Amino acid sequence: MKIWINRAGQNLGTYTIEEVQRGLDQGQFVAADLAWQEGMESWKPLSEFPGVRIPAAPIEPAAPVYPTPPPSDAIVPGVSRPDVAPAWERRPEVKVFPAFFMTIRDVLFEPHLTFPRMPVDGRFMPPTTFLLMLQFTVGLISFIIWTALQMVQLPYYTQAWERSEELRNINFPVWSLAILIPGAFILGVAIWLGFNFLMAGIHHLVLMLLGGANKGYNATYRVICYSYSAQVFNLIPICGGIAVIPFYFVASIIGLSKVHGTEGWKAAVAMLAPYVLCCLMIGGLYAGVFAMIFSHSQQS
Amino acid sequence: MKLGWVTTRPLAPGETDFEPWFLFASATFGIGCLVWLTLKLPWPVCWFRHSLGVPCPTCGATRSALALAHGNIGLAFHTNPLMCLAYLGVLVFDLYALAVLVFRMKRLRLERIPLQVQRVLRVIVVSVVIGNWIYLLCYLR
Repeated sequence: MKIWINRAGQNLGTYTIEEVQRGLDQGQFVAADLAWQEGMESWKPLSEFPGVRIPAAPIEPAAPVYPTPPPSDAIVPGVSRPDVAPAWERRPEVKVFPAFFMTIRDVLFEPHLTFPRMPVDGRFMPPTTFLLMLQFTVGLISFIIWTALQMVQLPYYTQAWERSEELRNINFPVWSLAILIPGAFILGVAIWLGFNFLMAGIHHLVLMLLGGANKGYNATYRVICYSYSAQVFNLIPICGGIAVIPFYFVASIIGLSKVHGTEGWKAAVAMLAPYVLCCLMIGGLYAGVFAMIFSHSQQS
Repeated sequence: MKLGWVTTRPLAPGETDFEPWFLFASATFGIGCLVWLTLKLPWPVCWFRHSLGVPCPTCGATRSALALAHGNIGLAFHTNPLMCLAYLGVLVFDLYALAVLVFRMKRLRLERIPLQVQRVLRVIVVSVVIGNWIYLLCYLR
Protein backbone atom coordinates (compact mmCIF):
# COMPACT_ATOMS: atom_id res chain seq x y z
CA MET A 1 0.00 0.00 0.00
CA LYS A 2 1.35 3.44 -0.99
CA ILE A 3 2.04 6.11 1.62
CA TRP A 4 1.56 9.79 0.79
CA ILE A 5 4.19 12.18 2.19
CA ASN A 6 3.61 15.90 2.68
CA ARG A 7 5.92 18.63 3.95
CA ALA A 8 4.66 22.14 4.77
CA GLY A 9 1.68 21.71 2.45
CA GLN A 10 3.82 20.43 -0.43
CA ASN A 11 3.10 16.92 -1.67
CA LEU A 12 6.35 14.96 -1.96
CA GLY A 13 4.80 11.90 -3.63
CA THR A 14 3.74 8.35 -2.84
CA TYR A 15 6.11 5.70 -1.51
CA THR A 16 6.11 2.17 -0.18
CA ILE A 17 6.86 1.63 3.52
CA GLU A 18 10.38 0.44 2.60
CA GLU A 19 11.03 3.60 0.55
CA VAL A 20 9.81 5.76 3.44
CA GLN A 21 12.10 3.96 5.89
CA ARG A 22 15.05 4.31 3.50
CA GLY A 23 14.19 8.02 3.03
CA LEU A 24 14.19 8.52 6.81
CA ASP A 25 17.51 6.72 7.21
CA GLN A 26 19.13 8.77 4.40
CA GLY A 27 17.67 12.11 5.50
CA GLN A 28 15.29 12.52 2.56
CA PHE A 29 12.38 12.64 5.02
CA VAL A 30 12.22 13.98 8.57
CA ALA A 31 10.13 12.87 11.53
CA ALA A 32 7.91 15.96 11.25
CA ASP A 33 6.85 15.18 7.64
CA LEU A 34 3.20 14.20 7.42
CA ALA A 35 2.10 10.81 6.11
CA TRP A 36 -1.19 9.26 5.08
CA GLN A 37 -2.29 5.92 3.72
CA GLU A 38 -5.62 4.38 2.80
CA GLY A 39 -7.80 3.65 5.81
CA MET A 40 -6.48 6.56 7.91
CA GLU A 41 -8.84 9.37 8.90
CA SER A 42 -6.21 12.12 8.97
CA TRP A 43 -2.52 12.80 8.36
CA LYS A 44 0.06 11.87 10.99
CA PRO A 45 3.72 12.88 11.46
CA LEU A 46 6.13 10.14 10.41
CA SER A 47 7.24 9.93 14.05
CA GLU A 48 3.74 8.61 14.92
CA PHE A 49 3.26 6.55 11.76
CA PRO A 50 2.86 2.78 12.41
CA GLY A 51 5.62 0.55 11.04
CA VAL A 52 8.17 3.35 10.64
CA ARG A 53 11.34 3.64 12.74
CA ILE A 54 12.85 7.09 13.29
CA PRO A 55 16.68 7.05 13.17
CA ALA A 56 18.36 7.79 16.49
CA ALA A 57 20.33 10.81 15.27
CA PRO A 58 18.03 12.88 13.10
CA ILE A 59 19.61 13.90 9.81
CA GLU A 60 18.84 17.25 8.20
CA PRO A 61 16.69 16.90 5.07
CA ALA A 62 18.82 16.66 1.90
CA ALA A 63 16.70 18.99 -0.19
CA PRO A 64 14.27 21.25 1.67
CA VAL A 65 11.21 21.97 -0.43
CA TYR A 66 10.13 25.29 1.08
CA PRO A 67 11.48 27.88 0.89
CA THR A 68 13.75 27.08 -2.05
CA PRO A 69 17.33 27.98 -1.18
CA PRO A 70 19.09 30.54 -3.39
CA PRO A 71 21.35 28.98 -6.02
CA SER A 72 25.05 29.67 -6.11
CA ASP A 73 24.67 32.33 -8.82
CA ALA A 74 22.27 34.25 -6.57
CA ILE A 75 25.00 34.92 -4.06
CA VAL A 76 26.75 38.17 -4.84
CA PRO A 77 29.63 39.17 -2.55
CA GLY A 78 28.75 42.13 -0.39
CA VAL A 79 25.03 42.02 -1.28
CA SER A 80 22.66 40.35 1.16
CA ARG A 81 19.36 39.22 -0.32
CA PRO A 82 16.26 38.07 1.52
CA ASP A 83 15.47 34.36 1.35
CA VAL A 84 12.07 34.88 -0.22
CA ALA A 85 11.46 36.75 -3.50
CA PRO A 86 9.84 38.52 -5.26
CA ALA A 87 9.07 41.25 -2.74
CA TRP A 88 5.31 40.75 -3.26
CA GLU A 89 5.66 37.51 -1.27
CA ARG A 90 6.91 39.62 1.67
CA ARG A 91 4.14 42.25 1.62
CA PRO A 92 3.56 42.29 5.40
CA GLU A 93 7.15 43.40 6.06
CA VAL A 94 7.86 45.43 2.87
CA LYS A 95 4.38 47.07 2.53
CA VAL A 96 2.15 46.78 -0.52
CA PHE A 97 3.30 49.62 -2.81
CA PRO A 98 7.09 49.23 -2.32
CA ALA A 99 6.62 45.46 -2.71
CA PHE A 100 4.69 46.01 -5.96
CA PHE A 101 7.38 48.19 -7.55
CA MET A 102 10.27 46.07 -6.23
CA THR A 103 8.62 42.95 -7.70
CA ILE A 104 8.32 44.55 -11.14
CA ARG A 105 11.96 45.70 -11.03
CA ASP A 106 13.31 42.35 -9.79
CA VAL A 107 11.31 40.20 -12.21
CA LEU A 108 12.21 42.30 -15.25
CA PHE A 109 15.87 42.99 -14.53
CA GLU A 110 16.96 40.16 -12.21
CA PRO A 111 14.77 37.16 -13.05
CA HIS A 112 17.71 34.75 -12.62
CA LEU A 113 18.10 35.89 -9.01
CA THR A 114 14.41 36.39 -8.21
CA PHE A 115 12.67 33.22 -9.36
CA PRO A 116 14.97 30.71 -7.59
CA ARG A 117 13.92 32.30 -4.29
CA MET A 118 10.19 32.25 -5.11
CA PRO A 119 8.25 30.00 -2.71
CA VAL A 120 6.13 27.34 -4.38
CA ASP A 121 3.78 26.66 -1.50
CA GLY A 122 0.58 26.05 -3.43
CA ARG A 123 -1.01 29.43 -2.68
CA PHE A 124 -2.66 31.12 -5.67
CA MET A 125 -3.70 34.34 -3.96
CA PRO A 126 -0.36 36.27 -3.87
CA PRO A 127 0.38 36.03 -7.63
CA THR A 128 -3.29 36.62 -8.48
CA THR A 129 -3.53 39.78 -6.36
CA PHE A 130 -0.25 41.01 -7.91
CA LEU A 131 -1.64 40.40 -11.40
CA LEU A 132 -4.89 42.21 -10.56
CA MET A 133 -3.04 45.22 -9.14
CA LEU A 134 -0.69 45.30 -12.14
CA GLN A 135 -3.54 45.13 -14.67
CA PHE A 136 -5.56 47.73 -12.80
CA THR A 137 -2.61 50.15 -12.53
CA VAL A 138 -1.46 49.72 -16.14
CA GLY A 139 -5.06 49.87 -17.40
CA LEU A 140 -5.87 53.04 -15.49
CA ILE A 141 -2.70 54.91 -16.51
CA SER A 142 -3.09 53.76 -20.16
CA PHE A 143 -6.70 54.98 -20.12
CA ILE A 144 -5.58 58.40 -18.86
CA ILE A 145 -2.76 58.64 -21.44
CA TRP A 146 -4.96 57.60 -24.36
CA THR A 147 -7.81 59.86 -23.29
CA ALA A 148 -5.36 62.76 -23.13
CA LEU A 149 -4.03 61.87 -26.60
CA GLN A 150 -7.57 61.69 -28.00
CA MET A 151 -8.44 65.07 -26.47
CA VAL A 152 -5.88 66.51 -28.90
CA GLN A 153 -7.96 65.03 -31.70
CA LEU A 154 -11.27 66.26 -30.24
CA PRO A 155 -12.04 68.67 -33.12
CA TYR A 156 -11.85 65.69 -35.51
CA TYR A 157 -14.38 63.69 -33.48
CA THR A 158 -16.67 66.71 -33.14
CA GLN A 159 -16.70 67.16 -36.89
CA ALA A 160 -17.34 63.44 -37.42
CA TRP A 161 -20.26 63.61 -34.97
CA GLU A 162 -21.76 66.59 -36.78
CA ARG A 163 -21.34 64.91 -40.17
CA SER A 164 -22.77 61.53 -39.20
CA GLU A 165 -26.53 61.37 -39.03
CA GLU A 166 -26.32 57.72 -37.95
CA LEU A 167 -24.31 58.55 -34.84
CA ARG A 168 -26.61 61.38 -33.78
CA ASN A 169 -29.71 59.18 -34.15
CA ILE A 170 -28.48 56.57 -31.62
CA ASN A 171 -30.74 56.72 -28.57
CA PHE A 172 -28.12 56.09 -25.90
CA PRO A 173 -28.90 57.32 -22.37
CA VAL A 174 -25.77 58.66 -20.72
CA TRP A 175 -26.64 57.13 -17.32
CA SER A 176 -26.30 53.64 -18.80
CA LEU A 177 -22.55 54.27 -18.98
CA ALA A 178 -22.52 54.13 -15.18
CA ILE A 179 -23.56 50.46 -15.44
CA LEU A 180 -21.79 49.55 -18.67
CA ILE A 181 -18.28 50.75 -17.78
CA PRO A 182 -17.97 49.03 -14.36
CA GLY A 183 -19.83 45.99 -15.75
CA ALA A 184 -17.45 45.66 -18.70
CA PHE A 185 -14.52 46.14 -16.30
CA ILE A 186 -15.66 43.35 -13.95
CA LEU A 187 -16.46 41.07 -16.89
CA GLY A 188 -13.09 41.81 -18.47
CA VAL A 189 -11.26 41.02 -15.21
CA ALA A 190 -13.16 37.71 -14.83
CA ILE A 191 -12.37 36.65 -18.40
CA TRP A 192 -8.75 37.80 -18.04
CA LEU A 193 -8.23 35.80 -14.83
CA GLY A 194 -9.79 32.69 -16.36
CA PHE A 195 -7.69 33.12 -19.51
CA ASN A 196 -4.56 33.44 -17.41
CA PHE A 197 -5.34 30.19 -15.56
CA LEU A 198 -5.91 28.54 -18.94
CA MET A 199 -2.68 29.82 -20.54
CA ALA A 200 -0.63 28.79 -17.51
CA GLY A 201 -2.25 25.35 -17.88
CA ILE A 202 -1.25 25.14 -21.56
CA HIS A 203 2.37 26.11 -20.80
CA HIS A 204 2.46 23.61 -17.92
CA LEU A 205 1.02 20.88 -20.15
CA VAL A 206 3.75 21.47 -22.76
CA LEU A 207 6.38 21.40 -20.01
CA MET A 208 4.89 18.11 -18.74
CA LEU A 209 4.98 16.65 -22.25
CA LEU A 210 8.69 17.52 -22.40
CA GLY A 211 9.25 15.94 -19.00
CA GLY A 212 10.41 19.24 -17.48
CA ALA A 213 7.58 19.91 -15.03
CA ASN A 214 9.32 18.97 -11.79
CA LYS A 215 6.88 21.00 -9.69
CA GLY A 216 3.14 21.44 -9.78
CA TYR A 217 0.87 23.74 -11.77
CA ASN A 218 1.13 26.36 -9.03
CA ALA A 219 4.82 26.93 -9.87
CA THR A 220 4.04 27.64 -13.55
CA TYR A 221 1.08 29.84 -12.62
CA ARG A 222 3.26 31.93 -10.30
CA VAL A 223 5.97 32.42 -12.92
CA ILE A 224 3.43 33.48 -15.57
CA CYS A 225 1.69 35.95 -13.20
CA TYR A 226 4.91 37.65 -12.07
CA SER A 227 6.31 37.71 -15.63
CA TYR A 228 3.36 39.87 -16.65
CA SER A 229 5.36 42.66 -14.98
CA ALA A 230 6.52 43.36 -18.55
CA GLN A 231 3.10 44.98 -19.05
CA VAL A 232 4.51 48.18 -17.51
CA PHE A 233 6.23 48.90 -20.83
CA ASN A 234 2.76 49.43 -22.31
CA LEU A 235 2.81 52.75 -20.46
CA ILE A 236 5.42 54.08 -22.91
CA PRO A 237 3.34 55.50 -25.76
CA ILE A 238 3.75 54.16 -29.31
CA CYS A 239 6.86 51.93 -28.98
CA GLY A 240 6.40 50.57 -25.43
CA GLY A 241 4.29 47.61 -26.54
CA ILE A 242 7.22 46.23 -28.56
CA ALA A 243 9.31 45.84 -25.39
CA VAL A 244 6.59 43.86 -23.60
CA ILE A 245 7.07 40.71 -25.70
CA PRO A 246 10.84 40.08 -25.22
CA PHE A 247 10.77 41.04 -21.53
CA TYR A 248 7.75 38.79 -20.88
CA PHE A 249 9.25 35.78 -22.63
CA VAL A 250 12.75 36.20 -21.19
CA ALA A 251 11.42 36.55 -17.63
CA SER A 252 9.00 33.63 -17.95
CA ILE A 253 11.53 31.28 -19.62
CA ILE A 254 14.17 32.01 -16.96
CA GLY A 255 11.50 31.69 -14.28
CA LEU A 256 10.21 28.32 -15.52
CA SER A 257 13.71 26.86 -15.86
CA LYS A 258 14.75 28.04 -12.37
CA VAL A 259 11.54 27.14 -10.54
CA HIS A 260 11.08 23.72 -12.15
CA GLY A 261 14.84 23.06 -12.09
CA THR A 262 14.76 22.09 -15.76
CA GLU A 263 16.83 22.88 -18.84
CA GLY A 264 16.41 26.30 -20.44
CA TRP A 265 15.37 24.87 -23.80
CA LYS A 266 12.48 22.96 -22.24
CA ALA A 267 11.25 26.14 -20.55
CA ALA A 268 11.65 28.05 -23.82
CA VAL A 269 9.69 25.43 -25.76
CA ALA A 270 6.96 25.39 -23.09
CA MET A 271 6.57 29.17 -23.37
CA LEU A 272 6.96 29.55 -27.12
CA ALA A 273 5.46 26.31 -28.48
CA PRO A 274 1.79 27.42 -28.40
CA TYR A 275 2.71 30.53 -30.41
CA VAL A 276 5.40 28.98 -32.64
CA LEU A 277 3.11 26.05 -33.46
CA CYS A 278 0.57 28.45 -34.94
CA CYS A 279 3.28 30.15 -37.04
CA LEU A 280 4.67 26.80 -38.22
CA MET A 281 1.23 25.57 -39.22
CA ILE A 282 0.68 28.72 -41.24
CA GLY A 283 4.15 28.40 -42.79
CA GLY A 284 3.56 24.72 -43.61
CA LEU A 285 0.21 25.40 -45.20
CA TYR A 286 1.61 28.28 -47.26
CA ALA A 287 4.50 26.02 -48.36
CA GLY A 288 1.99 23.35 -49.38
CA VAL A 289 -0.07 25.86 -51.34
CA PHE A 290 3.03 27.21 -53.11
CA ALA A 291 4.19 23.65 -53.89
CA MET A 292 0.81 22.85 -55.42
CA ILE A 293 0.84 26.03 -57.52
CA PHE A 294 4.41 25.33 -58.62
CA SER A 295 3.67 21.71 -59.60
CA HIS A 296 0.55 22.83 -61.53
CA SER A 297 2.52 25.46 -63.39
CA GLN A 298 5.21 22.86 -64.22
CA GLN A 299 2.58 20.44 -65.60
CA SER A 300 0.90 23.09 -67.73
CA MET B 1 -11.02 4.46 -1.97
CA LYS B 2 -8.49 3.71 -4.69
CA LEU B 3 -9.07 3.36 -8.43
CA GLY B 4 -5.93 2.85 -10.51
CA TRP B 5 -3.65 5.81 -9.79
CA VAL B 6 -6.50 7.86 -8.32
CA THR B 7 -7.03 7.87 -4.56
CA THR B 8 -9.53 9.68 -2.40
CA ARG B 9 -7.75 11.18 0.60
CA PRO B 10 -8.07 14.06 3.09
CA LEU B 11 -6.11 17.26 2.46
CA ALA B 12 -2.92 17.67 4.45
CA PRO B 13 -2.66 20.75 6.68
CA GLY B 14 -1.57 23.70 4.51
CA GLU B 15 -1.97 21.75 1.25
CA THR B 16 -3.44 23.61 -1.74
CA ASP B 17 -7.14 23.05 -2.11
CA PHE B 18 -7.36 22.92 -5.93
CA GLU B 19 -11.09 22.28 -6.15
CA PRO B 20 -12.41 25.77 -5.15
CA TRP B 21 -9.77 27.44 -7.35
CA PHE B 22 -10.71 25.33 -10.36
CA LEU B 23 -14.41 25.91 -9.72
CA PHE B 24 -13.91 29.68 -9.35
CA ALA B 25 -11.69 30.04 -12.42
CA SER B 26 -13.78 27.88 -14.75
CA ALA B 27 -17.10 29.33 -13.57
CA THR B 28 -16.01 32.98 -13.87
CA PHE B 29 -14.40 32.33 -17.26
CA GLY B 30 -17.39 30.39 -18.58
CA ILE B 31 -20.08 32.71 -17.25
CA GLY B 32 -18.05 35.80 -18.26
CA CYS B 33 -17.69 34.53 -21.84
CA LEU B 34 -21.37 33.59 -22.09
CA VAL B 35 -22.47 37.04 -20.81
CA TRP B 36 -20.02 38.67 -23.22
CA LEU B 37 -21.42 36.71 -26.17
CA THR B 38 -25.03 37.26 -25.08
CA LEU B 39 -24.41 41.03 -25.06
CA LYS B 40 -23.03 40.61 -28.62
CA LEU B 41 -19.80 42.34 -27.66
CA PRO B 42 -16.92 41.99 -30.14
CA TRP B 43 -15.36 38.51 -30.14
CA PRO B 44 -11.98 37.71 -31.71
CA VAL B 45 -12.15 35.80 -35.01
CA CYS B 46 -9.70 33.01 -35.82
CA TRP B 47 -7.02 34.74 -37.87
CA PHE B 48 -5.66 31.35 -38.95
CA ARG B 49 -8.94 30.40 -40.62
CA HIS B 50 -9.54 33.98 -41.72
CA SER B 51 -6.26 34.18 -43.61
CA LEU B 52 -5.94 30.60 -44.88
CA GLY B 53 -9.51 29.39 -45.15
CA VAL B 54 -8.79 26.20 -43.16
CA PRO B 55 -9.65 25.66 -39.48
CA CYS B 56 -7.02 25.73 -36.73
CA PRO B 57 -7.01 22.96 -34.06
CA THR B 58 -9.33 24.99 -31.80
CA CYS B 59 -11.73 26.27 -34.47
CA GLY B 60 -15.35 25.75 -33.51
CA ALA B 61 -14.59 26.03 -29.77
CA THR B 62 -16.93 29.00 -29.33
CA ARG B 63 -19.73 27.48 -31.40
CA SER B 64 -19.29 24.18 -29.55
CA ALA B 65 -19.63 25.98 -26.20
CA LEU B 66 -22.74 27.84 -27.39
CA ALA B 67 -24.30 24.60 -28.66
CA LEU B 68 -23.59 22.97 -25.28
CA ALA B 69 -25.10 25.97 -23.48
CA HIS B 70 -28.28 25.37 -25.51
CA GLY B 71 -28.21 21.67 -24.60
CA ASN B 72 -27.36 20.48 -28.11
CA ILE B 73 -24.60 17.99 -27.33
CA GLY B 74 -24.69 16.41 -30.82
CA LEU B 75 -24.03 19.72 -32.57
CA ALA B 76 -21.39 20.64 -29.98
CA PHE B 77 -19.57 17.35 -30.60
CA HIS B 78 -19.82 17.70 -34.38
CA THR B 79 -18.45 21.27 -34.27
CA ASN B 80 -15.29 20.35 -32.33
CA PRO B 81 -15.22 16.89 -30.68
CA LEU B 82 -12.16 17.52 -28.50
CA MET B 83 -13.36 20.88 -27.19
CA CYS B 84 -16.82 19.41 -26.54
CA LEU B 85 -15.27 16.61 -24.48
CA ALA B 86 -13.08 19.16 -22.69
CA TYR B 87 -16.13 21.28 -21.79
CA LEU B 88 -18.00 18.21 -20.54
CA GLY B 89 -14.92 17.21 -18.54
CA VAL B 90 -14.74 20.66 -16.95
CA LEU B 91 -18.46 20.49 -16.18
CA VAL B 92 -18.09 17.07 -14.52
CA PHE B 93 -15.08 18.28 -12.53
CA ASP B 94 -16.98 21.42 -11.47
CA LEU B 95 -19.87 19.28 -10.22
CA TYR B 96 -17.41 17.08 -8.33
CA ALA B 97 -15.66 20.19 -6.89
CA LEU B 98 -19.00 21.62 -5.78
CA ALA B 99 -19.97 18.30 -4.16
CA VAL B 100 -16.71 17.89 -2.22
CA LEU B 101 -16.85 21.51 -1.05
CA VAL B 102 -20.47 21.34 0.08
CA PHE B 103 -20.26 17.92 1.72
CA ARG B 104 -16.63 18.31 2.93
CA MET B 105 -15.64 15.05 1.29
CA LYS B 106 -12.18 13.59 0.66
CA ARG B 107 -10.39 14.75 -2.49
CA LEU B 108 -9.41 12.81 -5.60
CA ARG B 109 -5.64 12.91 -6.03
CA LEU B 110 -3.28 11.25 -8.52
CA GLU B 111 -0.52 8.99 -7.27
CA ARG B 112 2.91 9.00 -8.91
CA ILE B 113 2.30 7.66 -12.43
CA PRO B 114 5.00 5.28 -13.76
CA LEU B 115 7.31 6.78 -16.42
CA GLN B 116 6.24 4.29 -19.10
CA VAL B 117 2.60 5.21 -18.55
CA GLN B 118 3.50 8.92 -18.68
CA ARG B 119 5.15 8.40 -22.07
CA VAL B 120 2.10 6.54 -23.39
CA LEU B 121 -0.17 9.32 -22.09
CA ARG B 122 1.93 11.97 -23.88
CA VAL B 123 1.65 10.07 -27.17
CA ILE B 124 -2.11 9.71 -26.66
CA VAL B 125 -2.56 13.45 -25.93
CA VAL B 126 -0.59 14.51 -29.03
CA SER B 127 -2.40 11.92 -31.20
CA VAL B 128 -5.82 13.01 -30.01
CA VAL B 129 -5.05 16.70 -30.72
CA ILE B 130 -3.77 15.85 -34.22
CA GLY B 131 -6.71 13.51 -34.86
CA ASN B 132 -9.15 16.19 -33.82
CA TRP B 133 -7.47 18.68 -36.17
CA ILE B 134 -7.65 16.22 -39.08
CA TYR B 135 -11.36 15.80 -38.34
CA LEU B 136 -11.81 19.60 -38.39
CA LEU B 137 -9.86 19.88 -41.65
CA CYS B 138 -12.15 17.25 -43.21
CA TYR B 139 -15.53 18.37 -41.90
CA LEU B 140 -15.30 22.03 -40.88
CA ARG B 141 -14.17 23.74 -44.07
